[in-house]
Amino acid sequence: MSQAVPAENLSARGRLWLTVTWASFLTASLATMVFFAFVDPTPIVALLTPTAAIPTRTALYSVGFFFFWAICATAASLTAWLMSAPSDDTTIGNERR
Amino acid sequence: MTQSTASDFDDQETSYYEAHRKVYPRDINGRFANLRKIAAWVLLGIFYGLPWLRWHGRQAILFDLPARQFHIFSLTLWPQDFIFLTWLLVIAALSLFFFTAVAGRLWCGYACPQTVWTEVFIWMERITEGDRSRRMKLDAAPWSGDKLARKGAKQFLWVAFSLLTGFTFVGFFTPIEELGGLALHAELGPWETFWIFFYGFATYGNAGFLREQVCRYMCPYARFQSAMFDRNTLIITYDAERGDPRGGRRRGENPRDAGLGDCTDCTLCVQVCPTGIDIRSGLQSDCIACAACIDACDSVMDRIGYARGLVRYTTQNSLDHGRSHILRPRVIVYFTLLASLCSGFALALARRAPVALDVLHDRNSLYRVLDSGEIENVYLLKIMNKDGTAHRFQVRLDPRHTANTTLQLDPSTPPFDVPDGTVFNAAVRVRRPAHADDRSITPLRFAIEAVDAPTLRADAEARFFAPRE
Ligand code: SF4
Ligand code: SF4
Repeated sequence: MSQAVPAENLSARGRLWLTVTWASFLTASLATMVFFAFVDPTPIVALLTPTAAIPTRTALYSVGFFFFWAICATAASLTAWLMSAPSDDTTIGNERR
Repeated sequence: MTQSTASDFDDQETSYYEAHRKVYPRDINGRFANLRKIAAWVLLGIFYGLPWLRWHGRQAILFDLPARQFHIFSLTLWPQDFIFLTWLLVIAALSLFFFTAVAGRLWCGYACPQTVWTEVFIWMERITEGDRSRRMKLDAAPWSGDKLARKGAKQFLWVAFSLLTGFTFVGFFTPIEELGGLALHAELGPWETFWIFFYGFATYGNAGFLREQVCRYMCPYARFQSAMFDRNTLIITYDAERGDPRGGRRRGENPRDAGLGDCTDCTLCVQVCPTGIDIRSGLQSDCIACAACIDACDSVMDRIGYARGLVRYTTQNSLDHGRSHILRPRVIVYFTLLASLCSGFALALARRAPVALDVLHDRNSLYRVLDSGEIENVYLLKIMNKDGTAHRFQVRLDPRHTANTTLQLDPSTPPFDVPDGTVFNAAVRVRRPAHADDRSITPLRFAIEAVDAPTLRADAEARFFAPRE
């Protein structure tokens, strides 16, 4: 299957996914900053898990960042995926290359 | 162009990342190289030194995320001051626009961390692997003991420097002296460790490996900077009129007799370029305006006795024999915006309330009926002191709000000493005599006032609960 994809396609695709990762990293950083400027995560976590020990803020911020990164990466991947013309992978009469 | 997107993408951009041609920038000395070195030293000094600077007994610059406070010398910013940070970011962005409109990609050439760290990494490459031609030979040569030693030394320097960078970066967000102590005893928390390695890895990848590709593919500024350019913006160009036709010449020969321009086609300007482009092909988006090619060309012109400036800072207008204007609508608009934002910022900062008060009603019980029949409510006062020095605060009930009630602050409430830059939590009690009133909810207002500086005051509303009678 992978032999059917020319090498240059692979690198364009690689570039696309790196761009998705990078762009979502930037937007996730922004989202993290804005969100945690307004919301202190500790009381929320204390409410949600009253019995467990509360993690440090650093840990909560970090987890929050990865959460945002995942969300942003999902949006960016969807965009990238939908932007690629459908004919790329499947055309009528030529379903899978 | 309706069917473009992915297929265009695949066709045009074939060789990126995987097949990219490695650039081996040649070292160059000269006016701009010196300027760049000075800028790099200053910026690196600020980055690595600043977190160690102390100010009134604490780290001078500390974006203390765990404590949700930013310390910038005497200034303490709280989450409530988020607007100031946003404001600062807008000012920074606008300054970038302004400088770009006037002087082109000055930022890229001298101040961008990408440029500065890449220069350090290239310097480390040079002291371990040698100059440009030796580096190229070394890369082409088969593995040997010497190659291993040189490459190993380079990697060691790179990794160590990257980790130091990651450590310093984290030190802007958690107190660096503590962090250093923990690191020495290998007792760093998991997340601190993670971020040190994460940022170290990013440094290594960007400055050691990706280099000019960051500018080409990743940098948003590189994409939009041309929008700020016009014909009066300072750019670095090759004077084609003077230089072409290019070609080698004998010493002392008049190039015009040989039908040649001033460019000897020595390609030195290409060899020094960190992004691997040929400035003689015209202004290109890949050019980060580092001016290395100016130094290179000047050195050649000096050697063969021609006037400097075949490659130089100039503007499109003066290149076309017109006049350059520094003051033009675009610049004036940017400047006016910038100036008003800055003065607004300074004003707002100066007028920022130096103390603040938040009141939380006790969560556990709305009220308590004392043995005497009195009704008591407990409140948590959060007194924030951002004034720069410690103060003692006296709590009162604002008489304008409580005059027609019988509410009274517990007379044993002491004044509270609040150190600078802290939130002080104080539990206070308010009482109402038995059968004095039949309202179940009474609004009231707390006021605090610094004992030593009565102009320092703040107030906050709360509610007093009582059982229905
Ligand atoms: S293009 Fe971007 S990353 Fe490169 S030097 Fe300029 S600002 Fe920095
Ligand atoms: S063309 Fe000249 S100024 Fe532009 S990046 Fe290359 S060396 Fe620097």
